[in-house]
Amino acid sequence: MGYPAVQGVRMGKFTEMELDGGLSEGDAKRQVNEICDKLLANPNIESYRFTLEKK
Amino acid sequence: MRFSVTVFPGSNCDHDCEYVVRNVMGQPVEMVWHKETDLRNPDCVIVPGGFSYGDYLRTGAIARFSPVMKSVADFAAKGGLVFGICNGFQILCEAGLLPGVLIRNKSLKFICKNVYLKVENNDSPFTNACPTNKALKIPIAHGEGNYFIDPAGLQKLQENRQVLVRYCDAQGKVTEEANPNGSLENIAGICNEKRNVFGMMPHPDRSGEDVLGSHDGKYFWESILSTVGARK
Repeated sequence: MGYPAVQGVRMGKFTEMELDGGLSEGDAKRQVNEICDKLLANPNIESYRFTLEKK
Repeated sequence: MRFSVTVFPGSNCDHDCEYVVRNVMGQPVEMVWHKETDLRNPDCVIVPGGFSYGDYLRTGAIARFSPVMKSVADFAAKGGLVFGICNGFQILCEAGLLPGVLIRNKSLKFICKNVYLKVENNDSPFTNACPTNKALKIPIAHGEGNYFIDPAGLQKLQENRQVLVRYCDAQGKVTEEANPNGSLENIAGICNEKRNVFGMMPHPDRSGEDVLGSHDGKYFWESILSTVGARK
């Protein structure tokens, strides 16, 4: 494509999830971790990280 | 003996499995929709190929949550024979019934062709009738057949002799050129530690008689029949 400045490319997946606002931060982290481990990421090939934000 | 074939939305080799079991091997077979939990008392469950749930997220990642998979896991835990072919292998890996994962082919292309397989060891319920001194001609048809596992997992597979089939050339030599999809160590199929769950990417369901181009797939079905026959 003619962009010699590109030295490497990494692609991943980005997911936005809305949680019940009544959850404590600890519960929210625990549940998001579980969802990532069970479904969103395959630990054989993928790692993940997430941040919690208040709307 | 009795076979049950699980059917997910997007399965497309369920009828190939039904055909080979019923018409080629002459055995009764039940089709079990993924919403069902009753496997109908089989000796062996086949998780067939296809594109369950359109391969969304990752191949097999969503199918593992279907109600029938809980029954398949319970059946496997009791020692029942579970045979995953192609997408079925991917589902069994995602469900944690087999270690590792199938990722995108090294070429990034879907590959549909006959390949040769070396049966690495016939000390399993699924390969005991397979010759180990000749290359078996069996078709593959997949975009994600590139087997991957971390080094510790690979070592465990080798120590426990869980690698049952590898890709090879027509002479039975396991070479890099004969590896169609980039699988680690040419791995085409593995079993679990207890050896009652087996997954392979190539299709013995599509190679049970000469009119299909090869009858070598029959060895796997004969192995299962002889295992169950000996158990009874």
